[in-house]
Order: sequence, then structure tokens, then C-alpha cells
Amino acid sequence: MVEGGEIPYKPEARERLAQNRQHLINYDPEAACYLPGIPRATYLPYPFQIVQGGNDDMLMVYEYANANRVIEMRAVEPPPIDTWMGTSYGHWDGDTLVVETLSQGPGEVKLPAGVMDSNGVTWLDRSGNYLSNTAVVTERFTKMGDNHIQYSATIDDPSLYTRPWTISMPLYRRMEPNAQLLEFRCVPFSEQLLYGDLLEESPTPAEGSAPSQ
Amino acid sequence: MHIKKWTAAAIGAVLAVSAAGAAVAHHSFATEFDRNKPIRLEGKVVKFEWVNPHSWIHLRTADGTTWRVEGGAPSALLRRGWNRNSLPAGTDIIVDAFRARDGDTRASAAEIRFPNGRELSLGNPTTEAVAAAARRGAGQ
Repeated sequence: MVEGGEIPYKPEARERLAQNRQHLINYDPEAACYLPGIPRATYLPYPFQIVQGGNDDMLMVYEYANANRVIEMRAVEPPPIDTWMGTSYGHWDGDTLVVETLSQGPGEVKLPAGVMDSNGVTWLDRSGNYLSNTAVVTERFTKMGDNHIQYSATIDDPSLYTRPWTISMPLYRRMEPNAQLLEFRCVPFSEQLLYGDLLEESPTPAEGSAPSQ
Repeated sequence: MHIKKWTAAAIGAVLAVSAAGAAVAHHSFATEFDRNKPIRLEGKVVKFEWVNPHSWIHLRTADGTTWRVEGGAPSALLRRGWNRNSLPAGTDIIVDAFRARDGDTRASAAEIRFPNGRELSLGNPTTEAVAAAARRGAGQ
């Protein structure tokens, strides 16, 4: 999926990657049902729906935890604040939809298992890979026939990577005649992680060292 | 708009706000704050939390206490022109707020004022209504 096979982290960014890897289930915000960010929302094992109007902005709705994002079809400008899903700006390059997403940032976040992280980052997967709020994610959606979209996402974050890098994969349309998004209620599956420390008679979560920074 | 088909899920998702992680349910002003306990807080901003259902300004007053002042939701703030640079740490502000009922160093405000007189709305409609009623009661 990663073109070139490896994510080009800078040496100083590898420290946080190593920390993430030591505490995967306890530090990955997705394990506590936080929003997945871009591009992770695209390749979670839950479908998403593209709502496209006439000449309006576009909407992508993800089955996972009510995640959604509006793609504003206008020129990129710095978003007013950081948000979990970032702010997306789109334009057409021939028949390819190009979407640039900026300012993805959890900010101060209570991680699964209770550790407070004052400098949260967006995870890319369950392996600890991440991007920061200075990243620009440029996605390209190209239709390959009625049932496939060729998707690629280029992530450019000079504070973390030595160069921009790209993932790519086909997206498959759900062809069932009555395909629709269902509701994936994430919290009941993550209750122990989210609220385990509030139970009166349960072991407290294992003490882990706080994340760096 | 010529949108072909809006499913209920799409509309619901547009209206849903990312509040996973807000541990406190959203209660009314009256249950949490006391309209008969106004307080004027002056000090330096320590931190500004952009969270739902209410944003919070952490304010350190001259006696060293850190108060938390409730503002509106991030969407309300953005509509009033707030952004990440609106309230940097260290900014001096003056706030007329209503104290929490439980006596904690917590209060709810309708707007903030800067020393140069500029005012900025916090986008907190119920607190704005309480503040307006208080001004009417004081004959202003």
C-alpha cells in the first residue's frame, strides 16, 4: 500500500513512533472510538458513502462512529482550528477529484486506558504510524469504471517525514442493490478501555509512561 | 440543490458532532450555574480548550487561582470569527461570569473583554440570555 514500502520518518519522529508501538492498544485513539482522520477513515474495514450534489461541496460519510467530512470545493486556506478530521478542500483535475486536507489534530486528548496526552496526533493505522497537524494529505479519487475508484493519498509533513510519501489502493463499490451505511456504535466494544478506570471493582489499567512531549 | 438522494444516515452524520470523549452530559445553565452569583474575573489566559459541548477558558487571576470559564461550542465560536489565534496563552482578559453552584472555581460567561475595551462573544446563548436579563433587572 505504501509506495516504496517504507514511511520516511525523520530521526526525531521515530521516538514517538517507538513510544506508540510500545502501547498500541492504549495509545491508539481509534481504540477509544475517537475519529480516525484522513486517510485512515478511507481504509477502515467499514464502508463509506460519497454524497455529491450539483456544483455543491461534497460529503463523505463513514460508517465508523458517525465520522464524516465535508469537502469544500474552493481554494485551500488555513483552517481556523485543528479538528480530528481536519478541513478538506477539493477541486477537479480532469476526471480526478483532488482533495487536500489540513489541520488534523486531536489536541489534548484522553487516550484509551486513561493517559492524558497534551499533544495528540492522528494515527494512520494500529501500528503506531502517525501524522501531525502540520501535515497536508492530498487524495486523488479516479473512477475506473462503475464499481472501482483508484485512490491515492500523498502525505506531506515536513516536521515528521524526510519527503512526501504516498499510499494507493483501489476502492471497491458495494454492489448489493440495497447497500446503505449501517450504524456502527463503537463505544460498547471499547467500554473497558474508555471507562474501565471508573468501574468500582475492576483492576486499574496498567500504568504506562506518559507519551513524550 | 439537485441532490439525488439524502439518506437518513447522511443527514444524521452531518448533524452529529464529534463528541466522543466528552464525559459530561450537556445540562442546562440553571442546573450548573447560579444566575444570582455574578463574578468579575480578571487575569491571564492559561489555556483555551476547544471542546464540545462547551469550550473552556482557563484563566489565572491575580491571587494565583485558575478559574475555568465556560464558553460556547466550537461551531458557535467559529461562526463568530474565532480561530486558533483568538486567545493565546498570556492574554489579559476581563470576564463577567456566573459562578458554578457547587462552589468550584468554574463560571459561565456570555463574552470576554480585553483591556482596550474590545469585546468578543463566547457564543453561549443561554448565558447570554441570563446576562441580558440581569442587565434589564439592573435597569440598564
